[in-house]
Amino acid sequence: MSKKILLHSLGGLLATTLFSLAVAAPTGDANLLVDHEIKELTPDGVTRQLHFQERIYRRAGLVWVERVLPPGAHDAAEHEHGDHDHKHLDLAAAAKLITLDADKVARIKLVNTHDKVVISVPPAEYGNVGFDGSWENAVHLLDPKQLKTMQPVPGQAQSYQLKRADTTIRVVWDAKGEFPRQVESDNASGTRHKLMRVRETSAPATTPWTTLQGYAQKEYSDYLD
Amino acid sequence: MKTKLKICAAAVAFVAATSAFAAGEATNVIFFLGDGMGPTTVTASRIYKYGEAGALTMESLKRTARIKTYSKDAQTTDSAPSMAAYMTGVKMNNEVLSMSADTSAYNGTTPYVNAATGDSTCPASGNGTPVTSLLELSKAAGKAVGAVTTTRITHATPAATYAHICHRDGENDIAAQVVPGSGKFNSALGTGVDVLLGGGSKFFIPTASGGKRTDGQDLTALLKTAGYTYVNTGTAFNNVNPTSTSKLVGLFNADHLNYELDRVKNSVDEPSLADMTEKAIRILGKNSKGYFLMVEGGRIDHALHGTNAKRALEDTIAFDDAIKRALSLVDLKNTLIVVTADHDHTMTINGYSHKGNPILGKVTDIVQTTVQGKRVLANAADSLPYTTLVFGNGGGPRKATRDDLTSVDTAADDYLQEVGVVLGTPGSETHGGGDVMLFSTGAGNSGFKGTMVNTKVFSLVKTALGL
Repeated sequence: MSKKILLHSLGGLLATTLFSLAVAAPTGDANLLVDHEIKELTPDGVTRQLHFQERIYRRAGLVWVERVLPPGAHDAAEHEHGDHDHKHLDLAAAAKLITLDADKVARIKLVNTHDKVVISVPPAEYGNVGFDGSWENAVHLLDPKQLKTMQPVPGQAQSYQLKRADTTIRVVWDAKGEFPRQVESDNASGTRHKLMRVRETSAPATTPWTTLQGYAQKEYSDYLD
Repeated sequence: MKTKLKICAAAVAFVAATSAFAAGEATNVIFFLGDGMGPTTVTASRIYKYGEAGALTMESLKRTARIKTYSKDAQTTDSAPSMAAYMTGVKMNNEVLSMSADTSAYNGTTPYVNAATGDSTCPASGNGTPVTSLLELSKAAGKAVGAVTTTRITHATPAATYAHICHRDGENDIAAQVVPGSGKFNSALGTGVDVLLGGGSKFFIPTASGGKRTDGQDLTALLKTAGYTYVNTGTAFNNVNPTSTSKLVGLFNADHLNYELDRVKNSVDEPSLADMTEKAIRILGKNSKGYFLMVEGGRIDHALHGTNAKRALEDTIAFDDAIKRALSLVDLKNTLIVVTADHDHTMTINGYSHKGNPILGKVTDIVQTTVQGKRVLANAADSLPYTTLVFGNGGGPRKATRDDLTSVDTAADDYLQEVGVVLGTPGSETHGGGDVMLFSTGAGNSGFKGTMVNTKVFSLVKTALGL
């Protein structure tokens, strides 16, 4: 992988919910809370700050990703106005269930717990649901192989850095958990700062992917005109 | 002398007028419908494949017109009433298929469809009546008829040719309407639609066999009983001999057919739209009274809904190739070719890129590119580059801030263009309410000119066929 591609990959990682994962050996279970923070100073003097969180549950052959939503969001009342639109599907409210099938191919389904529906997504539409189709890009939050293209930070164990003319990226890696504790990037002019912080959290009382019995099974194309 | 000249001029004008609208000039009609193929998509596809100064095959057709697409109740239509307007001459409400103008797709706020099963819940009476389509009129006149698409054959555009239903999503019922012996067969189809090619086999197969039919019927078995040759792979399709086949159904995917980009890249065993068009023409063309064929490039629309310009342009080129194939097979002295779209989308071409800049690429600064003699990207107010093709709105996994596209391959297969208004639902980029283009050539094409409402197209085709 070229440094240019790596930088883009890492930059995209910070701004999206795509996760790069590489699995050489079985990876342990993990319950993670991920904070995404972005601060940007625009040329017209406006500072914009964004923050959102996701929960990620990692199990053998399965990754569950869900956005942390404000209380009351996407409840029945909020959705009433949308009832007229049969094709309503809120991506932010839908969790991603990524699994590895018998052929070692990663598959993604969206799960809308509000509407109790599971939506199959064909590969050609993966981009529209924020998935790149790779299992290796779905278990760790950063492909460990990418660390080999970075420079270790002297005196800081498991810290790596990649400098380019326009961007600097720093990664703090959790070798045991096989995920990054922190991924941070700054552009050269210092006007854009992105930060992803990963913490371990408690397992859910009920694993959400085990409660999908009775959910309607739909397809991505059902939401198209 | 002056009087004589005036009379002559009037006579010439009269002859011209009657010629323009002479009935029955066309024995055959092929109606090409690029779903969502608005003017920007046409231009972008031209640049993508042939460059700014090149031309698509559809652009070589003799006449061009501009079509107003609004539906009965909506400024911006969906595919159901827009295709139905072409096919029936009636303006109807969004999501209604080939029914009278008073038909509602909703019972209050509830759509007349069981969304989980695909079963229609349209009332048997009291909610509009079917209106006759060009395909049905053609069949009644003894012509052969067919519908070819890259979507499910039960999807709105092909369904508008042969089915009548108050809500387009009742696809189990739409499938039943085209199958003799189903109990819901549309009797106006006479002996049935002669050629049906596309996807959507799930609506023809019972749930017990992995399909969506809740009535337990295997419609593919009924089709065979009714004398159809039924194929479900591209390989089997290629082996169908059109000379010895008069009724053909091909359903090559449980859902929509693959996008053209994926069909080719992954060597999917599905026929191309051009091959399906040719087979249909060869089968239908055996009827001495002529034929009516509808051909849809249906997935242009889907790629645009996903703000994936590359797949939309690839599907548009495949659609154009189907037109090219048809033109190579027909005699324009007795065949009318109409090419149009049902509605626009929100994609636009922006910036001042230099000529020759890839249409899927980033906008270049024409001034700096010229001055410096090398490609110089133009920047937005945030000092970041942007792509030539963007969308007015769209869903999907939108970024919290704009990516720096400097090192991004925006021509990659899965790149999604940026959008103005962010919508939450993936694939939810909306249709555009602007006019679309219509191209025509061949027998009876004279009237297809000017700016027309979409229902007028029905009248022109009907007149050309002498129906």
